[in-house]
Amino acid sequence: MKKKLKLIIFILFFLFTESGCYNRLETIQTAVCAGVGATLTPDNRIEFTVQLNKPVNPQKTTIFTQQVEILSTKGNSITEAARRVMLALPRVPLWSHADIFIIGGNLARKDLSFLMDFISRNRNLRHDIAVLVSPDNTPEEILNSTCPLSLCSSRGILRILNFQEKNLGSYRKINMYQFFSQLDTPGIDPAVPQVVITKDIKGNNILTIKGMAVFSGRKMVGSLNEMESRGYRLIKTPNKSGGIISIKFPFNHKNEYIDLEIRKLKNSIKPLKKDNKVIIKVKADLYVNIFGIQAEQEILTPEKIGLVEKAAEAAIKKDITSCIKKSQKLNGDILGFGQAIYRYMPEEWEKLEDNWQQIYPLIKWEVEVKVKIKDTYLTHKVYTPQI
Amino acid sequence: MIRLSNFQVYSMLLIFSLAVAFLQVGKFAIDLLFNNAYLAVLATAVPGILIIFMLNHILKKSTLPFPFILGEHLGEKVGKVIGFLYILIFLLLTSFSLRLFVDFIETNVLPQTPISIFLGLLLLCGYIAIKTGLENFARMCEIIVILGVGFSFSIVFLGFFQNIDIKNLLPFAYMNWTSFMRAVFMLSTEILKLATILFLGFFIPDKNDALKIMIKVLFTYIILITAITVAAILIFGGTTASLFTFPTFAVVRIINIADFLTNLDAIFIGLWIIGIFGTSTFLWFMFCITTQYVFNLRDYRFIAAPSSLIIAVLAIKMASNILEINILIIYIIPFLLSIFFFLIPFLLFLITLFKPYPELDQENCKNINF
Repeated sequence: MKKKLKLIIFILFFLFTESGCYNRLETIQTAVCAGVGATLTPDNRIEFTVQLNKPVNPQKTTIFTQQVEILSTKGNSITEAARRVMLALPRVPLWSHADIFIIGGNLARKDLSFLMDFISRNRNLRHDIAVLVSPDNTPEEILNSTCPLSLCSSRGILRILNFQEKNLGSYRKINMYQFFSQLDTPGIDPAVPQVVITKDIKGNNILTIKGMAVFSGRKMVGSLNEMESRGYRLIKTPNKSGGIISIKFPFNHKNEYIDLEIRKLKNSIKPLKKDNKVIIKVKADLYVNIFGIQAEQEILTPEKIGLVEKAAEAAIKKDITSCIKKSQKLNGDILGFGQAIYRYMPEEWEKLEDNWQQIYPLIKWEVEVKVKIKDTYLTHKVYTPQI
Repeated sequence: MIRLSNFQVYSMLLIFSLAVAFLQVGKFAIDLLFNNAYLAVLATAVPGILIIFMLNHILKKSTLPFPFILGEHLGEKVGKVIGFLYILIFLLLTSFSLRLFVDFIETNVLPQTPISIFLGLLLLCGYIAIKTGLENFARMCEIIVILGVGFSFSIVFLGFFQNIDIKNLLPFAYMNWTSFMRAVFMLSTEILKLATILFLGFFIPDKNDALKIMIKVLFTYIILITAITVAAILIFGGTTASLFTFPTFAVVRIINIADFLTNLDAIFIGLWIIGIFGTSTFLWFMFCITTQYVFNLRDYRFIAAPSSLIIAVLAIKMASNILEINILIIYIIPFLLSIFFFLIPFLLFLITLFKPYPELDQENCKNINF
């Protein structure tokens, strides 16, 4: 009897104390956060913007208009600004659902250190969210714009980032942990995709990825254009496939193109010592497939394919070279030349580290690209319709 | 007399040395050595094996389990005085493991939940485990190890499939050797917890198997800690990994398999809690057993209830903030562990070097009432 009584007390105790999390929240008390952003106002205050998903009834016909609420608040610090959201929102925002973080141009150009401290310290924002820089607009303007066929622009722009890297290969997606890793690691600076507002056919504001923001130390110093961004991606992406290279037809001077799809990519940055000076060797080996030939001349012969490969090598080299030149001009070591010296020549890095900002724009480098064409997909000849 | 299987002892030793270490030991090494942190973890195998041989020697030359071993080799009076110090140490370590758990949960998981809820529930479970006895607790440890080690290896495995950069491990072995020695020392202090074999080793069918068990524990420990340290470095890089309070947890948080398997931290926390339950309960159990020995008590079980209050208060009062906890983690606890889990066993080792092998062996244990 005594044992049974003990058991009942024991069960009752756990029944009331273990029935759920102590600080649980019902769904109707919460608001799912899709994206967040921060920028600096002209009076040097932080403007924090959050995009919240509106609850949608899945049984009703879906209308592809944004189902979101945007809230913007200001504060002296990012934490204060973020907490001020509570003054206007009757629900608890679930920050951990955020997929993107947009850094406003004003903030990016000033100093990111206190923003990064907030993000690295904060347990609510997940470290795998994508980071974007909005060079010309505030995060509020960005989050208020739409993405075609998307209920929420934050999720839409994230999908665009992912799909373009796989299919087009112009920009490299950066996660928050990669961003703050590159910000605080000596010898490398981050480059972050930029999101801008453009107009669609109907004149609506839609979001597009355009260029990459280049950082030097704690602040943004400039941008890469699409070609330079492609060069950056070819050297820095961890994804070993994906992307298209369009090269000009090498056998005549007409405006004809060959599209090559990257199937396998191997890249490396290694320092060498020549004449007692450090030189950076940038290498990219690619296996590509022919995806489209916009010409009438047969090029799929053993003799001509080699020339196509050479033309592709030259085109890729141009992308990479333009990226390096721009980063040296902006003095933002986005390719991590300094980090490469530290990794392969640590003694040398000790000598260079203190003056790296002055050395980087002048450091010599070499680019080596090798391209091999592997496949031609469903046809093995150039398609030439009758005249 | 209590009988434990080899796997049960393996499980108890592993939980005791690994549960806290899995979350924080890699951090010590990364703080000191950045990208070469894993080398310090691997190097821990050397002091680890030496410690294991020392403990095995003491075990073979002794007829009574810890804490009775103190009286056997040092004399009854000295044994009891040192035993009293062990009571305080076990009490402090129990409170410390609970405090570490509470601080982790408060900062990373449930910040609004009062500390007393966590402490109360964990102590209640621990109290029940002690009341039911060592054999039941050992069975529980088996389940914890099967679940916990399996999941820990899965986390590490999944971690290697994230956006990793293998070059983050470079430059190889380019480090400050003083920092390396400090890291090896810090990591070895966790391995010193294997000294509890001096208690558990007497309850396995054959005491000679203790060496094999300890070596298995050591290698499980080294493989798991090396793997999670390497995973953190590969994902974040040495500099950024050193920024996090718990790099292991940061790795768990970003695991994402095909946008389908995400938010594994909830499972990790669930399993880690039972790991901490194992560690704190085992320390608490050792506290009760040592108290029984020092004060010649008939039983140890009744000590559990009153001591729970001391443990809870000590856990709350031992540090007023995370900075003081860090001082405890980095300086005080390793210092205490090296005295009570290394220096005193080393003294026993020196004494037993000159003693013959006992004839009665485990027969004496039958007279001890556990």
